[in-house]
This record gives sequence, structure tokens and C-alpha cells, in this order.
Amino acid sequence: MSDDPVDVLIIGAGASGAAVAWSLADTRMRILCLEQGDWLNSSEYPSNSQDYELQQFKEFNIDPNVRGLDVDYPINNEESPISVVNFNGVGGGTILYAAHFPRLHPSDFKVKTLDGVASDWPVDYDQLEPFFTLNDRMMGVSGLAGDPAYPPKQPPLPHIPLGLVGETVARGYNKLGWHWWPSDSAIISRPYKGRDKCLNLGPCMTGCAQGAKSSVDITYWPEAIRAGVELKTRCRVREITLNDEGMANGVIYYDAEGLEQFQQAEVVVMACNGVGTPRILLNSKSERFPNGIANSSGLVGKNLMFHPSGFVQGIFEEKLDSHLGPIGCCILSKEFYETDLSRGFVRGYNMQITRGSGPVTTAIQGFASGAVPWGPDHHAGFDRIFDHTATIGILCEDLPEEHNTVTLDGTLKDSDGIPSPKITYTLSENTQKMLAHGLARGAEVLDAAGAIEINTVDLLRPAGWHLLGTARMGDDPKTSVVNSWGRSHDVRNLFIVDGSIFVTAGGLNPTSTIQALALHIADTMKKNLANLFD
Amino acid sequence: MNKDDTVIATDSPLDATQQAKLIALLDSIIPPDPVRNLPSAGEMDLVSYVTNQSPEFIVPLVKMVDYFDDAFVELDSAERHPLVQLFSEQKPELFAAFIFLTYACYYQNDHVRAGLNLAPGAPFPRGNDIISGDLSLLDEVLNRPPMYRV
Repeated sequence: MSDDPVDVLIIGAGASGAAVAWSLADTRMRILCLEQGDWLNSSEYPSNSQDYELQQFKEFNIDPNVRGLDVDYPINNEESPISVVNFNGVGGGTILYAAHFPRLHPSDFKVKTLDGVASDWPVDYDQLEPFFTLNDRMMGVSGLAGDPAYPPKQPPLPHIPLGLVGETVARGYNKLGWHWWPSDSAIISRPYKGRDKCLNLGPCMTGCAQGAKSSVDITYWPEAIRAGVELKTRCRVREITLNDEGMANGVIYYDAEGLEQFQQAEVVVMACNGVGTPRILLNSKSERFPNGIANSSGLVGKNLMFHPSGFVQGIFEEKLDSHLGPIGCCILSKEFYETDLSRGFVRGYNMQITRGSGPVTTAIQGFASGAVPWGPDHHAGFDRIFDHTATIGILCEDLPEEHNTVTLDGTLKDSDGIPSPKITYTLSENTQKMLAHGLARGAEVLDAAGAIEINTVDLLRPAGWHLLGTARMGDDPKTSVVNSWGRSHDVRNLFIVDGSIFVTAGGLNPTSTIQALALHIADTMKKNLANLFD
Repeated sequence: MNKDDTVIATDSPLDATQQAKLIALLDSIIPPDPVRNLPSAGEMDLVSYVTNQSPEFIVPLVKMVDYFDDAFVELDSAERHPLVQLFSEQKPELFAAFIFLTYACYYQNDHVRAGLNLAPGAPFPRGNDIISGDLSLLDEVLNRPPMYRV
């Protein structure tokens, strides 16, 4: 295919790009995806080697500014208490994510109607439900049916083991009479579609050597490529170009040799996450769009939402084998997810119970916190916490605020000279109250579970995993960037399918919803192929 | 050549005196645990580890060792401790980097891992067994009415 025109050009091979590529493949259109990173090889993931824990501090670090690979772009986080974390490669963030895979709740799509804040989405849970289910099957999701926090759903695979950590914390929730449930996890608990089941290695967040974690490089992409989609790596898009009619006609990108190329396309689909997508849109300036393509609303890059997070760690007398099993997938609680204004804030948060770290990480982080001192008390300090901890992460819903933005940095650039994104973000009073409430409730749970010591870490800085809201959906072109099926109001052959289009953030990990939304958009595109640009 | 004439060639960036001080320093950081047969950090080959993993730290490491005078090795652990403490307060960033590498080297060592009842080597493909969990714990939750709003 090379540089010939394509019907659909997808930018970004992560969670949403993979889903939309797979779904559109059955149209037999010529589909090309450009990805700035590489394919990953599971035999090179850290858990293949003895120094697996240390690689999280280096080339498998979640922070691109620390990782500093040539496929990464630097990010200016100086004006934000939360720094952006990501991964650039085939699979995107799913390579390093924890695979905690809850869906947004029905109420998350109706926050204006139910709680009088922000805006309702132009789609709802019922519309997305078939795509949630399809996505669960495509990815391979493990879980347990019957959770009273959700409408009925049936994960395709049995839940991930609770382990001693899950059982112990669950008893604490039961003592308080609070909700908990085994997490939906994008990790296969049984052999599935040619992949073998989870081995409980532990360090999921540096890639899964077993291939049991459902990253899209081993779920959607093989099927999409078999169906005819072409995927080119090491192609970094600089800007989207327009024809005289104001339609997108392709992109300018830099290839693996750093040479400038032009790829012509009938349809352009953005799938670069809530920071990467506005970065390219804002960098695509023209006479028609002097402030960036598809930006007549002025909202591209605005309303950035994270999920501000903190955690509470309990130390237990008994051994919990904390470092064994998927670190981010155990149990969760939705006790405080839905709005109750008597708590002093609107909306709510997810409580995600996580397992512990390996011995190296335990020791190093323990030195920083003072729990594992050097000297004669070293062994006692280490023994007290290693394999004896359970942690509750508090993941807060962030409401959209226009002053939280992604803009182009005036000086910082990537290795191809493309301006870097600059993050400007402040934590709202509502979120601060919510996080404080969650941390206090987390401590209550751990106390009820029998922890002998409880330590709290307030707002976590490297927690900008979930990048949402910077090209929001809506029916009104004045207050939104794309319509209810991801099509730009301004440029009718330009679609956005990643977390940028979230109207609100919900209070939980968004990948399941991002992918369901991408499948919904692809499905709507297919149904409207004859009049896609009307 | 008789035994006494043997020449030992080494690429170590530390001479014998410095090596001895480093071992004494490391023994102060992580002493042995004879009950579980855990070695001290001084029994690890930290110099080789740093050379391989963080060669940029060799020069700071040598400077750190040189901070302590030669008599340091003759002191017992109780006497060394305040000297190391003083160094950690005077050079906190350097000391933290030293601790990072020392802990990393120590807890990757198979002898240490065996003492902690941990399997040697990489996690994959060995894997681990964990309990599935007692789902009867969910009985109370299952008795709740639906919690979601529509």
C-alpha cells in the first residue's frame, strides 16, 4: 500500500485505535494505522529477567519523561500536580496498564440530569452495553456476574483469584457492611483465544511476559491485521491537512528515518489519547482553523480530566503473600461511587484494592518512607512490610473545567521537532474533599480488616494515566468538538475515538469504556457509510 | 612462579583499602542475619553490580568510600553507625542513590531470596499459585439491592 491513498487512516495503535481498526476491517476498506512507537516483544518484558523490578524505574517507567525513549515525546507537567503517564507503541497504554477493567456506570452518562453538574453524554450506558460486551469478549475479561453496583453483565471468564490480600480486605468491608466485588480484569484466568492463562507473576505494569494480560497488540491487532488492516510503526504524525473544501485529506508524518512524508486519506481517525490527540489537532493550523483543526468551539485541549488518586496502605501481622498475583486486579468497592451530598461533595470514587510489590521495590520504597531503614533494624523493617501489606487506591471522579488544559509548549519539542504538550491543571475543591473522604474511608476498611499500621499517601503525582475530555462529545457544535459518534462538527471526515471525547470522567479506570465507545463509533460509521459526511 | 609471586590483575576501580572500607560500609547498611542465613550487603559484589547497571555511579561511589578514613574498617558496627549516619545527613542525595543500588543488588541475589523463601531468578515462566478466595464472603453483598442509578 505504501503511500497510496487509503480509505481510513487511524492515528495511534492503542486501545481505541485497535478496536476501531478491527471493527472497520469488515468493510473491506483500505485501512492504515500509523503508530509512533514499535511492536513490543513479550520475551523482552522485564519479568523474563532477574532485574524485573528495576526496569520499572528505567525503560519500562510509566512516565515518558523518565523513560525518555526516542519514540516518546516529552511532556511539560510543570503547571500540574499530576504528571501524565503513558506508553508509546503498538498497544499504547495497555502495554503497561494494570488491566483493572470496570465499566462506567449508567449514572456516569447523566451527571447533569442526576446531579446538576457538568453535562450529560449524548450516548448512554444502554447504547454502549452491546459494545461493552463485545469488547469484553475481544479483550478477554475475567470477572464475576452479579455485582449489585451494575446492571446485569456476564464477564466471559471467571474472576482473577482474590488471594489472601483480597480475602483479608473483603472481611474488613463486610465488617463495615460496605460493598466490594472481585474486579473485572483484562487478564485471562483461563486459556482463551490461543493465549494461556495468568500465572500470577505480579508485575503486570511492566508488560505481561505470559501474554495473559489483554493488551491490544495481542488481542485486537492480530485479528485486524489478518482482516487486512495495515499497521506502520515508527511513524509520528505532525499534523492533519485540509483540502480546499475544508475536508481532511491526509496527514504529514515523520517515518522511521525521520523523513517527512504525506499520507493521503479519505477519512482520518484520531486515537492518540486525551493528550496526544489535542496535541496534533492544535498543531494542525490552517487559514480555516488558525487555532487548530476541528476547533471552532475553542474546546480542543480544554476540560482535561484525570482521575486524581491517593492510596492507603495497611500493614498486617499475618503474611498475605502480597507480591503474588496481578498487582492492580483484586477486588474493588463502589460503596462511595454514587453521589451523596451529605458527604460534602458531588459524584464519587472507586476503591481499588491492590496487591504488593516485590522485594526490591519494597526495600527501596521502604527506605524512602522510613519503613525499611539501613542499619541493625533493616531486616526487621523489611520483614514487617514485605508480603504483609494490602493497599486501597482511591480513584476520584474529576469534573470538567475549562481551565484544565493541554496546549502546545512554546519551546519543548520531540525528536522530530513537533511541539510538546503542556499540561495546565489544578485540583478542584470538590475533588480535594472527595479524595480526603476516600482516604479516610480506606483507612477505616483496613482498620476493620485488622491492619496493625495504616499509612496514607495523599495526591499521587505520577498518576495521569487517564487522559480525558479534551475534545468532548456533544450535540451542540458550540459546546463540543465531536458529535455522538465521534465525528468532528467542523470537519466531517475527521473522527476521534479515544478518551478525549469523554464528556465526564466517571470515577474509575476508563479503558473498557474508551474501547466500547470506539466500537460504537465504528459501528455507526459502518451503518452510515453511504452518507458518512452528510 | 611460586604462590607468593602471583600477581592479581584487576579492573576494579577500588584498591584493596577502598574495597575493605566499602565492605565495612555495606555491612553497616545491611548486616547479616545468621538466623535465616542471610548474608550481609558486604558479601554482595556491589562494584560489579554498579559497573554493569549504573556505571555513572562508580565515581561517586569511590568518592563516598574515600569520605571514610582507613580506621573505619577497624570499628565495630556500633561505632560505624554514627559515622554513616553523619554522612547520610551531609550527602543525602548521594547516600540515597547508594542505598538504592545496595538494596537493589541485595534483594536480587539468589542467596538472599532463598533466605526469604523466594524462588530464584525471573518470575516468568515459573509463575505463582495464589488462593482463589472464599466467595461465600460475598453473601452479604449479594443480599443488597441494586446500587446503581439510572
